[in-house]
Amino acid sequence: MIKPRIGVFGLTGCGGCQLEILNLEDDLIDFVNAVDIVHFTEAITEHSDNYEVALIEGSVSTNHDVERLEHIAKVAKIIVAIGACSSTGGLNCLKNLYGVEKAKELVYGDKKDWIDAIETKPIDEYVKVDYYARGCPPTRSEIVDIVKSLIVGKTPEIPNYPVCIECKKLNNTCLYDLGIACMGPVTRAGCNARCPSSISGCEGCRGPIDEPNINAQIDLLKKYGLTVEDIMEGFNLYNACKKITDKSK
Amino acid sequence: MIYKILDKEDYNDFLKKLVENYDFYGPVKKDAAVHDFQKINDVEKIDVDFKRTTVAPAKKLIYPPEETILSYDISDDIEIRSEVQADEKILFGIDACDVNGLAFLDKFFSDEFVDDFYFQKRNKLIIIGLDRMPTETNFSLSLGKEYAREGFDIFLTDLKDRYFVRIGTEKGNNLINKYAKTRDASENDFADYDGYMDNYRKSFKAKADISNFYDNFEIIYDNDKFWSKTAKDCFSCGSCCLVCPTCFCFNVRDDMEINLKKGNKIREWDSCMIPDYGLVAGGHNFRKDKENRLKQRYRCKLKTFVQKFDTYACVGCGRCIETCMAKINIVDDINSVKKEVSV
Amino acid sequence: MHTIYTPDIARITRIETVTTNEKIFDISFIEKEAQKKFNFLPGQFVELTVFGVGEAPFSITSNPNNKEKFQLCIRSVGSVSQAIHNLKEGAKVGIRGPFGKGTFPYEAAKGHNVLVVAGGLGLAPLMSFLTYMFDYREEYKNIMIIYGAVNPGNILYKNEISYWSSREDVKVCVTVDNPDDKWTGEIGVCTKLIPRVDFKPEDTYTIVCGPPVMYKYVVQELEKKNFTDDKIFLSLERRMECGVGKCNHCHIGNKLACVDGPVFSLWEIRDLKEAI
Repeated sequence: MIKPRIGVFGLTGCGGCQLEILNLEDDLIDFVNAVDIVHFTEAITEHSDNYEVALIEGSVSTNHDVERLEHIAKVAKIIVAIGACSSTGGLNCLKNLYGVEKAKELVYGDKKDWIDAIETKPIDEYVKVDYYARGCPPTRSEIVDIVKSLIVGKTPEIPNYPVCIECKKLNNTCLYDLGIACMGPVTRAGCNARCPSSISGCEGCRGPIDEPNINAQIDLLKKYGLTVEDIMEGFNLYNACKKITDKSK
Repeated sequence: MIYKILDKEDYNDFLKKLVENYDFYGPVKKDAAVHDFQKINDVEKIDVDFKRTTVAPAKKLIYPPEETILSYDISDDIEIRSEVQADEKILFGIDACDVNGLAFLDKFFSDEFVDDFYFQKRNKLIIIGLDRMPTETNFSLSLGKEYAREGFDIFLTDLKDRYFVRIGTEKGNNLINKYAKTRDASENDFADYDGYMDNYRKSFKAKADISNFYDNFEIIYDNDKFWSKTAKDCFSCGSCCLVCPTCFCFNVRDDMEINLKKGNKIREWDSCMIPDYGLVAGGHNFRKDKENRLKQRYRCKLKTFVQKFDTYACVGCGRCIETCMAKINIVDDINSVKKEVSV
Repeated sequence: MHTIYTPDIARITRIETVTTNEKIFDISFIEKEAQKKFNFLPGQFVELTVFGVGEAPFSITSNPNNKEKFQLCIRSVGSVSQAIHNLKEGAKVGIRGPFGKGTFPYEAAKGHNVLVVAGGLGLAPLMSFLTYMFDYREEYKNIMIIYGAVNPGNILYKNEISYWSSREDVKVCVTVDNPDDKWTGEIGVCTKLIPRVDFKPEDTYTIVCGPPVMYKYVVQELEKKNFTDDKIFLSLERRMECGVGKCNHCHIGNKLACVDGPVFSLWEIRDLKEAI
């Protein structure tokens, strides 16, 4: 793929992930030179249906999202999920915990029937996703890395190890030693330990590694005085759709 | 080895001169939990009074977590370049087992193929060791790594009113001659040093019975029940390796600039405890269970290099024990192997 | 500074597509000096860099007596192998090596029978040994080659195989797992053919190379025939990332595939439980 034609799309989400691309700063010019951006919901008015790579942010939360996603999947050869909502369902999945009808009622009251909301799902519940730039928001470098890899023809190297590795490389003090609970031991790295580096516990926005030791994480959190409810909240914040606590025994 | 005595009142002056004249690294209080080796500009910042080990081991100064080992430019023809930046540095305040950790890496990185990236920096690193009482988790005595016989330029032992100074290299001797007011060690000083070392060795609380491990490990290797219990809570997070003063594994990745003309090969610390470590092209993973990864780690630490270099690749500093979120404890596990086999 | 991680630049002089998945690359160094210094032994490997993508280990498949160039037979499975498949003749790559002290027993086997068992792409590394052996054919006793492929389309080195088959002084048995309509040869895994070997165990060197799953079964069959550990040689595939014993990804128990191997006698790895 010499100069891939790229479409950037947003489903249900805050739009922050698309903004991360626009925030590439020093790399932005090189980035737009390296690729051919033919559609970018948040940035350009022209839009084309002639793209090979689709970068998709946002979760599938409405019937309209489903239609758009299915159309994109028909056109694009490669689908890259950008951000937590698109990769794991993200914060949007918290809605599911209430049930769709109840959630609509809570938010929209008697206007709830105007709303086309369905149960929130990450995009890979509908279409095959080739690569994920996870996180809320995803790191700019990871989006760029995935696109670069597609151009030079290699498989993007997405970490399959927990955030702990990055903390250790950065010489961070383990937050548990400072009395702060952290989802780092089960969460996929790639964010360069963004939150722990600012002395703030990891909330798992990049989703779990392939084989998270959920039982050990639950034991660990209990040891640090968290209740079962706290723990479930911790796991669910970004990953309610993925039901990772089901992996515990 | 040259033995000297540095009086307490001259000690600060010595360090001060070194800080003034050198790129100086020493232990400082990082936060409420831990100490860390950092660059020192003010001698007052040095704090050797710490109960836990430092976060990152001393190896980070010569074997950093990430390092470019090759740069290339393919815009025209292919041009490649390997360079390493190394300036003289003093590393002050590492204890005997950390000195032994570096001594192990020296051996490892020069075995058969010499790693220039390591040695260019290593050869410019001046090491001033400092004895200190063992931490709760330090079990270096069990491995014979509690005493530094080599691998330092100067080694200090605190004898209350004075320091017992062991000078291991000419470089160290020159530093002492130039910056310190010392005198020769007397019989009395040796007697006190002997007393200190006896007391030091008696102070170890963590003890591992490593006797017969070399053979016992082979019979325990196939005991699935033992390993599933031992590795049950392992997060496969790799923290134990990244805090280890002797772990050397690295991964190499290519990183190209977005202009797709220039790129770097970067080596970064890796860990045998993470699942993708044993993965080969085609998808086969030679060590896909956490039990097998833990076995591999213990084999590497306690057996492989006994065969290769006649030494353990573990110095017993206890960092992995302090760091492990799953409370996996190498001392307990060594003892469990012994117990399991001897019953 | 030239370090143990610095490659020499080499050029792909010829590309031959062998199957849908495998290509053979002829490679020679740009600098004459580098080419002159590059002397390899059967079983050794190189680290090949496709700039911008990465570096990966590949066994050398050509005859060590050919000093002008060397050959790699590469299956497109990982990033680097896919990338080199996309390169054209004339493209430049980086080469480090040759690496590995553990080579095929080309010296020790002289004066003895040689049994070669290859599975799939495992034939490729063996080609350096086989071609070398045929250069000095009279120095070896009987030679038998057992080669198993998934299907007839996957058979590598078809010309060489038919040439050997035509020779009187070597026995060649090719078997496939999934035959097509035209296939008239053996069917099934290569281990099935081992019972037919009629060499005296004490006078036979066996060389095995294939996918990781194959070794255990081949060794079992050889043991049934009383072949001994010190005369069975296996080429083990691991993730040899640095080639010089530093990165440690190719650890097999106490051994490293890159410096101690990649070819080991069964005796050397008998006690290493993760070896086969």
